[in-house]
Amino acid sequence: MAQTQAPVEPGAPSRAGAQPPGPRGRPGSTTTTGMIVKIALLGLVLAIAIFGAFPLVEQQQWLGLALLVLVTAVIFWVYLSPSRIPAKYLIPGTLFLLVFQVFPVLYTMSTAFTNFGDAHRGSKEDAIQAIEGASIQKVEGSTDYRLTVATKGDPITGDIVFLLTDPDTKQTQVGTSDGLEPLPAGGVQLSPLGNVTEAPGYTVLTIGAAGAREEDLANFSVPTQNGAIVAAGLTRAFEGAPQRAYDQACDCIKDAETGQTWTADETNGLFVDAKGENLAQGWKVNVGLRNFADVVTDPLIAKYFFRTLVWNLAFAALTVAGIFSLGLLVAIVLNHERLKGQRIYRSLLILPYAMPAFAMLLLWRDMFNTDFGLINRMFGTEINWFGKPVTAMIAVLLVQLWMGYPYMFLVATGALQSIPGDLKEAASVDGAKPVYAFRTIVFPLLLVALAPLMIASFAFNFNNFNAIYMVSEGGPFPPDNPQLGATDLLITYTYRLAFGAQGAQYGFAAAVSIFIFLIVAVVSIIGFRRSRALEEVN
Amino acid sequence: MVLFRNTDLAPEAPKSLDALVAKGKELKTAGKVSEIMALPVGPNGDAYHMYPIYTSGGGYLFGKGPEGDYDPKDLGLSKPEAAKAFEKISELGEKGDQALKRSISPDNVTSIFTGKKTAFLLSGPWQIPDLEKSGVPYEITPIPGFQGGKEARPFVGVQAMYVASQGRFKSLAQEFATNYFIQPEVAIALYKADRRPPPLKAAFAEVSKTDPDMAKILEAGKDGDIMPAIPEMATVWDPLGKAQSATVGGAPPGSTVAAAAKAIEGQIK
Repeated sequence: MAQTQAPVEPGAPSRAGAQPPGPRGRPGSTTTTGMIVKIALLGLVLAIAIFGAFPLVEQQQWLGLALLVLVTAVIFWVYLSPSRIPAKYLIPGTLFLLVFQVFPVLYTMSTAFTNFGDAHRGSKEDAIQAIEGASIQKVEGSTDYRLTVATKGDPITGDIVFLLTDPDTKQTQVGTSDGLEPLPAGGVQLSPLGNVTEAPGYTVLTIGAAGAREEDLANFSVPTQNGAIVAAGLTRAFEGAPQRAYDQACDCIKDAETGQTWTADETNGLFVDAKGENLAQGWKVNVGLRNFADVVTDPLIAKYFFRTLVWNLAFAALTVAGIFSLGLLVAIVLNHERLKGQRIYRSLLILPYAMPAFAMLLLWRDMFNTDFGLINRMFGTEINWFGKPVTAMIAVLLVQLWMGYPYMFLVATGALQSIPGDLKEAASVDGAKPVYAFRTIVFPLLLVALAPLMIASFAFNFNNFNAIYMVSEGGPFPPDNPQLGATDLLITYTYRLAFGAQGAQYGFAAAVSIFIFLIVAVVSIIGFRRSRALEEVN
Repeated sequence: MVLFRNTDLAPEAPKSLDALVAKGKELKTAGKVSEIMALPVGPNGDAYHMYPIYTSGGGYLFGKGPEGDYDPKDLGLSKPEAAKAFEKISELGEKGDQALKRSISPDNVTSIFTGKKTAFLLSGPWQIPDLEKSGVPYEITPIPGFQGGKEARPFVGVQAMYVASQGRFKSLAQEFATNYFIQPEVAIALYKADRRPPPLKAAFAEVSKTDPDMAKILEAGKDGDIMPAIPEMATVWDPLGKAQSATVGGAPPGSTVAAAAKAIEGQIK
């Protein structure tokens, strides 16, 4: 970076002690282009911060707002100072790490300790509201009112009232939170269907204005002798009474008609009656380590979990081994100096990598179709690929081999070309056979470069959801456990638990996710430790 | 669900499933078709499409209470009738007549019929736009049951609208659902977008004037079973489909349906 064009800042001498020893002149960006880029980027950060601040203030998320202000302040503090070079390099990566890795992991962990899922989605108040709201029955013999929502005074802040019309008698009434009062007919205009369009002393709300008052409208009802008058939309209302009501004294729901009682069960977040049956609406509760215990102790899950884990590890390992071998083989073959048409071969061989993976997986799935698929038609076989566990596994591995080898081919080509040619020459001069030279000299050097990529590939394929779900959907399922198939990975199993047809079990799925995370983390740590030993070879 | 029949290949409507299979075999030996019938199964099964065959074989899903609503305590899959129904499915499957195949899945079932590879398609009204586009002459009749067996009862479903309890403008949504969605214009517009019979009588009368298939579909669904809307139904689809697919593939019907029943019972608890 050119240092000579810098205008000397008056404060520079006092900060001389803080400057690290090194090149002459002051560290930090000092060219005009550099300054402009810095101002532009910092301006962008500020713009994003302001853009994000408004919804946070609106939703009153003060913690989020404080976090946003803190992060923006730190960014400005670091980048506006001339020193603190390591921080300047580390901040973007750390920020993204915190947002996209640390936060999701922590959130998943917190979910794993709850029973969040279908029937346990909201809070207890939400459940009570839903139960009471769903049990509202129209009072026998009451009128079906035509409704107009209006306010007494200002449409934004005034009290909500219901202007009700009896469609048969065309008599109008006003419903407030205190009850029904007659509405004097003078000055009142009605629509053909009977809805009030104008009433003196009240402001009739338009649809937009009514939508703006949604919060007050949702909780509004006109108390009557037999229950309350509630709105059915914005143009009709009826008199109804909830059949089921929450009784705080006994912490239970009582049904007025049948007399049944459901008591709140805080360990499971459900309302249960004496016979053990529960109401459909429940709430989210903390269940501690129950989800984790279920993974290892539930007989149905435990029976196949270990087998799934073994297959998961084997799938990732075999895939990496397969694509590495094939990719390396192709790279060695094409690396020969005297081979003609290298460019053409390379372009053709990269094609599987260039094709959109999603479409190719579906295509391969149809190619493995027993009666209509290309593979069986071409070879004249009748193999039911996805009907038996072994053939399904072979099919899935074949697809991965096809899709993955170009990546290893590219990387191996690069690594091969970076090995100094004189090493190989020296080996042949010393009389080493090509295979021996490869095994002892070229291969270890290759591994130094490729080992981290192989570990990354292993971690990727361990959780390669698409590879299994799009091709075999988890493979042949045993009849007693339709949730865990023969080619299921842990991640496809988790997906089925969380989003499958059987209803969402997010808490349990989060617990399985944590298990997967721990397994992959352990394997990766071991792998990286071993590859560090390789680096000492070089 | 209805039976779509290629009137060129099979001029007469079959009176029973056995007659259908016989006609299909006859056409197959004559070389006119390559599949006896097209009912989507797939490797993981399709309980919705298999339901008429399952009910004709004698099985049921949930027992009905006195008011006609479904009782999740009475799971028909654990009863002996279900095993008998699964035996019938097995007879039609890959180890039997080969009328049911796992390689026919929802992805390729339409193209098998429009490509004239089969004369019979067992599916629903959503296929009509594709069939019309292909130009295959078809006729809609109710799905026949087994000869001497119970009648085939397809699932009957109605598309409805729910207002979300956590929505931001619930009153507006409720207004739309209660007072606008029920108008005939809306029903007819939905029909034009997706050719299913409108449940609103006024709209149905209107579209039937120009579309003779609508009346036939209604006729086919006359004896159908309302699709159970109880929460326990969600636990049924997956295991039942997989059990049926396994049976089609040749697994022993009795033990397969028993294992599925056990898995579902465990989920319902």
